[in-house]
Parts: sequence; C-alpha cells; structure tokens
Amino acid sequence: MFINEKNLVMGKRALAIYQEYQRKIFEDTDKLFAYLMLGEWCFGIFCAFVISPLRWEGSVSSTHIHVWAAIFLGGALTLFPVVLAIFYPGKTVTRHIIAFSQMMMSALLIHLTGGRIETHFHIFGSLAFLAFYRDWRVLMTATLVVGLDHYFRGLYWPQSVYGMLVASNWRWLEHVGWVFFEDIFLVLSCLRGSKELRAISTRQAELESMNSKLDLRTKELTDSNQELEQFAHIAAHDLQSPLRSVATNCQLLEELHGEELSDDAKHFARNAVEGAKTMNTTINDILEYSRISKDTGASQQISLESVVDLVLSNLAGRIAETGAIITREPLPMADGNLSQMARLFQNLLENAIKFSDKSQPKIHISAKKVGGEWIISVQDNGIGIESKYFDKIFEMFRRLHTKSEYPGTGAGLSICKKIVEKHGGKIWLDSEPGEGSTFSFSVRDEVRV
Amino acid sequence: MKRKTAWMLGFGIVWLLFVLAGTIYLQNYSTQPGRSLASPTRWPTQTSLKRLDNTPTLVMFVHPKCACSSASVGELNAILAHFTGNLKSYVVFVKPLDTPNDWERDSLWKEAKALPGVEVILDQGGREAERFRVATSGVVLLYDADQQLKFSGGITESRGHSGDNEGKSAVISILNTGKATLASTSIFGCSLLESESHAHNVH
Repeated sequence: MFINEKNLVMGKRALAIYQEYQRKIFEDTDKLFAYLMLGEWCFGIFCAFVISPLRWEGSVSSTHIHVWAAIFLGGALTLFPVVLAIFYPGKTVTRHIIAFSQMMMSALLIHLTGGRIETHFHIFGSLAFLAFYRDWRVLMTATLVVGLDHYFRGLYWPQSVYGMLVASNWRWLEHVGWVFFEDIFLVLSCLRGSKELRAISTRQAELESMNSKLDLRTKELTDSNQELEQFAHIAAHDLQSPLRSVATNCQLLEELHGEELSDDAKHFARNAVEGAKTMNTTINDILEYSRISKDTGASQQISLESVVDLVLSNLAGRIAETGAIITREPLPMADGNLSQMARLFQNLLENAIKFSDKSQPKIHISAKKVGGEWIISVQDNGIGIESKYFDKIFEMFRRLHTKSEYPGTGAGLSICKKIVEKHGGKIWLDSEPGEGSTFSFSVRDEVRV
Repeated sequence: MKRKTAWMLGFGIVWLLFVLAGTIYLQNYSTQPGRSLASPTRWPTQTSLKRLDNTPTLVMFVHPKCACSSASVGELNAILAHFTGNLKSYVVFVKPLDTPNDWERDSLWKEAKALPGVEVILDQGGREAERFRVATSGVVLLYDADQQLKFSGGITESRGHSGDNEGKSAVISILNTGKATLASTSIFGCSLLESESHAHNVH
C-alpha cells in the first residue's frame, strides 16, 4: 500500500524507469544466484566425497548417504531455481524459490560438513546476498524457512539442533531472533536502496522531460531561424530587381531629360541613385550573411597561408593605394570552408586598412597554438575602439562612425563572427583608442564545418 | 499460458515434496542411533588395557574409517580441554581381521594421535570391543576410580554432527563432580564389526 501511494506520487514515467531498474536488479541477482547455487552444489558434493564418502560395517563399505544427498537433494535445491532464473528471470516466484532453496542449501551444507559452527555463517552470508534483490519480502521468505526448519527440528529432533533431547518449545525463537537481528539491517538497507532508486528514477524522468522540452524548443528555434533566413534571402533577392529598376530609371531620367530638369530635380535624382546603390550593397551583405548558414560547401584541408595570399591579391589595389605594410608569421593548415575563410580574412584586413588614421597602415598577422586550437590574430595600428563597444561591433549593421567618416554597411564583422562560430571557434578583440586593434579568432586544430 | 502455469505449479509442488522428503530422510538417518549393548558395569579383568589406581578411565572405541567418528574424537578433545584432573584415556581402533596392514592408519588415526594424554590402541579383530561389549563407533565408556561404569554412550548429537550435546555434558559432569546427569546416551556411528546377517551374506 505504502509503495503504491509512493508510486502515484512518482508519476508514470518515473514509475516506469523505477520498475525497469528493479527488473534489471532482479534479473541480475537471479543470474548471480544461479551461478552461486551451482557452485554450492559442487561444493556440497566435494564435501561429501572428502568428509564422508563411505559408511562402514566392519570391513565392508557402501556409499555414504551424504554422497547421495549431496548429489540428488543438492541437485534438486540447485537445478529448479537455476531453471527459473534462466526461463523466468526477474519474476517474483523465482526470487522466493531462490530464497527458499538457498536456506535449505545452508541446512544441507551444515549437515554435510558435520554441523561445523563455521558453516552456520552460510545462513547469514546468504541473507546478505539475498539483500542484493533490494526486496525485503525475499528476506522474510528466507527467515521463515530458517524459523520453520528450527521449529520442526526442535519438535522432532531437538538434539540435532539444540544438543539436548528435551528443549523448550520456544528455543527456536532464540535462533530465529539472531536471524531477525541481521534482517533489521538488511531490510533497512533494502528500503533505503529502493528509496534511492525511486529518487534516481524521478530525477531521470525529470531530466528526460526537460530534454524532451529542450529538443522541442531547439527544433522550434531552428525552424524559426531557417524560416527567417529563408525570408531574408528571398526578400533581399527580390528587392534587388526593383532597386536596380529605380536606379536605372533615375539615371536614364537624368541622362535623357537632364536639360529639362531643375537643379533640385537633378539633385533628387542623384540622391535616389546613391540611395539605391547603398541599399543594394546592404542587400548583398544580408544575402551573404544568410548564405553562411546555408552554405554546406565541402570542408577541406586548407592552408591559411594560401588563403591570406589570395586575399592579399584581392586587396592589392587598396594596399597599393594606402601604402599599407602587411607582415605575417607562418600560418597553419586548417580544416574548413575555403571561401568563408577567405571572406573572414578579407573583412578583417579591409577593416584594418580602412580604420586607420596613420599615413601608412601597419598590419601583422600571427598564429599561436593554445591547447587544441590555433589563435589567429590580425593586429593593426589604426584608430582603435573603446572597450564598451567590443561586443556591439559584432552586431549586424552596427556602426561606430558615420558613412562619411568611414564608408560601409556595418555588416563585415557580424559576417566574420558568423563564419568563425560556424567553424566552432570564437572571435574577439583587444583594443585601445588611438593604439590600434587586434582581432583574434580561434580555430580548432582540425576544423569541421 | 494457464496450462503452462499449471504445469509449473504442479512441478513446484512435486519439487517441494521431494526436497522436504529428502531433508526429513537425511535428518532421520543422522539421528538413527547405532547398536547399543550393555557394557560391563565393572572394569573387565580380561582386558589388556591398563588402568591407573585411583584414577578414572575413559575408553572410546572407533571404527578406523568411520566418517562420523571424527566428530566424536573432536568432542573428546573438547572434554579433555574441560577436565584438568587425573584421567587415563584410550581411543581404541577396532580393526577387522580381513583388512590389510596399516588399513587403520587414516585421518582419524592421526586425529586421535594428536589428542594430548590419550593412548591410541589397535584392537585387531575386535577382541577388546567384545570384552567391553561395544558395537558402534564413537562409543565412550567412563569408569570411575573404583572401576565402576559411570557412563556409556555417544558424545555427539547425531551422526558426524559436532556441537554441544548431552553425552558430552554428562561425561564432563561426571569427571568434574562425580555426579552423572545421564548414565547413557545414543551412539551415532558405523558398526565396529560386521553384523551377523551381513557376515553371513559375505561369507
């Protein structure tokens, strides 16, 4: 009744887990007892053959009854429980038959060893072993067998168990009392074990429930994110066409009817073209940003040296124009997406060149191995950034300066961040205003995308 | 399913009955005493065993191969440990005539030899067993200093079963106080010599 009430509190899933744990314990213990009982049977036969192989009458001998008892009675006490343990593992009847047989086996072994006091410890050892089931009822079955055995022996063969021909009718209780003494600890241990198992089951059920909710939430987020990216991609793509149309038409208007237009109208037309161009650049950045997630391009072993070479050749015009000096240390091989890595380096180097207040930008690219990853750094001598903006600059379209000061959409660093994270790394910066900046990112020794 | 359960139940009941019957049979066998004869109430004059004046004498007869008698020798050891006074004690190994040399020199012989202050005697053909009128291995005869038989019987609780028992308690009581709680007990062990019916069949 107590257990049932507890079970209701536990909840269905916790109860199912608890019962599964219990079933496993019952089955494992059944199996252990099967091996133990087979061993005990062999031991009993061995004892019979060593201690009392023959009975004698003068010079004539015959097989001692202990040998037959060890083989047949011991066999019956062993084989039935073993068969149950094999074909009915975990069943209630199996463990109670095992408890009965184990205690009867104790009596047989005590008999075969000539009632040695040492063999009586088999009873107490068996009780402890039965406690492996964590089912106090099994201990009660075993104790009942011991009680009945002593009661009937005391009744019919008192000398065999108490060493006297006439014993008190209550003497058996003294013997069983010591068994109960051990039972107290074992029953408490069983109850505590069950309680702990129940707590573990409840925790596991809670964990499963949380995991299930988490999986659902993750799926919802992933779906939502994918839908959003899809939307951004389609929207950006579809916006390009009308935008081009606006820009082209404004240009045509100025070219074909420029003489008829007032100065103000020409100014407005030029602004419309500039706005369309800016918007086009922004749209391209959005498309690129969304493509990082969608890009499932093959990951391959790439040389970061070659990637930097490629980027430097792309930026050759800007480098020549600004007179930038770019130095670098040997860079490692990495496993990743070539075009994304190139984009990452290009954005970082473009920024390093662009945000410079010196006549000659100086940029240094370095690589350092820390633990199981490489830290790649791009250091410049530019304008630097205040520490309060360290996180914000990686946000999409976040700008710290006006377009007239430093042109751009403000998407470059957020694209960098997304690329690095997709490669399983992190990106950060160290900077002081006026002292330059160092952008660093980590890549695993073997990067997988 | 029901049929299977019925089969299992039936088999379980048969198994239980077999186990209980086996246990009861084994218990009955263990507590079945051997033959007891009336031993001379006074120390027999024809015996070759020597007794000491003013000293009680304890004689145990054993079959050299009797597995049950190991427990009897063990109990004798316990009795000797309890009694510190003067006592002449013998363990007499009754050897049937048709047995080879050194047949009696087995583990039981070594156990008896190891008992402190006990003289181990070989009784070829069971002459001494006849003089003392004993028939079952493990029997103990205790004569007091006046050569009177004070105790005759076994000192184990059942066949080959060691542990406290009334025979042992009686012997200890007689030795320590001169008073007997019991004068005789059942003897559990093999027959010292072939029974007449068996001897008849063999010969």
